[in-house]
Amino acid sequence: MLDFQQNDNVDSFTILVKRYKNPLMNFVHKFVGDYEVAADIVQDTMIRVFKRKDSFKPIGKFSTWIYTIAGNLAKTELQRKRKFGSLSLDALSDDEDKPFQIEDNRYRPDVEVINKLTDEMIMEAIQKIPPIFREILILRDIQELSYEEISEITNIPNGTIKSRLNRGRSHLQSILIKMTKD
Amino acid sequence: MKTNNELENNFPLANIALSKLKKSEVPYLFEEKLFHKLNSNNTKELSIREKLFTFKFWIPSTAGLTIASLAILLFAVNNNLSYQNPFNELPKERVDIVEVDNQEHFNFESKTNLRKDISTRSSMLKIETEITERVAGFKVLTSSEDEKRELDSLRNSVFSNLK
Repeated sequence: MLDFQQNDNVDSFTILVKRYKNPLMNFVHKFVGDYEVAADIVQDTMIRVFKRKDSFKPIGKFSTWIYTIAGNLAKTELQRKRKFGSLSLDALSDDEDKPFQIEDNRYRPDVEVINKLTDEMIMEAIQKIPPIFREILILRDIQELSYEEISEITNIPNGTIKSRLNRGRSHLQSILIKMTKD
Repeated sequence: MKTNNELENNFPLANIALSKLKKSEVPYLFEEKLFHKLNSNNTKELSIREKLFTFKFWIPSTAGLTIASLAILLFAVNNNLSYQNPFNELPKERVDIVEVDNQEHFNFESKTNLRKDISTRSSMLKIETEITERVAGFKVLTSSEDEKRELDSLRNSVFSNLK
């Protein structure tokens, strides 16, 4: 990144694109739920990196900076869709303070239930999680980033991240149980 | 890992689902499209000054202006010709001609009036010539003495005729 920033080296930018295109695509696709839209967002993220390379401060990590850009673009897209009513954000509340019933921890899925789970079902279930919990869940449980990295990306303190992650997992668990029972 | 254990122990179905989920990858030709997009964005963002000095800007601008001027010119010419075009609808009577017709002076736009005017003018010229010929024999009185003398001679001739 520094080589690209200081020397305007296009080859360095190409290396960055190659390294981050798929992790970003995985994150954005799971977040917005639409493959084509996700691809456009990842492209826009790369374009922003290219144009605003001077705004990157080497004190922080490049990976968190690029994830922040992608996350912000994805949130903008979700807001736009919400505004025009083409995306159902589910009846589940976004309100963090509202008490949420935690699923029964004793529940253990059997083989039949596990086999029922398809990619489409899991994607659908993820999309039903309110966005503020969904983002943290994806960054932690799918992208496997550390709490510190997630905190830097989202600009949220560690404690809030942990509680949101718990809420996100709980949402996902209850949605999946409901789906497999139906 | 503690967190994975948390997920595994507390949310087993969620854990299984997330581990089963396939990773998404960018579509085919992603990089080509990205660089194409970057190039087109760079072109769009050329400064106004740069645009002003490029032929790419000038050629369409000049062509546009020429086409617009031609269109205006054609429209104007067409409007002027429309009175003479026999294939057009019936020509409207021009108000200015009607007004001029009512005036008693030369009107080159009406052939009848022009003929009338010419004949009037030639008869006027004939009268003027006759007057000039007749007036040619007249004495021209230039001073008051000449006038007095003339009056005296006239008076004498009148009196002699009376006698």
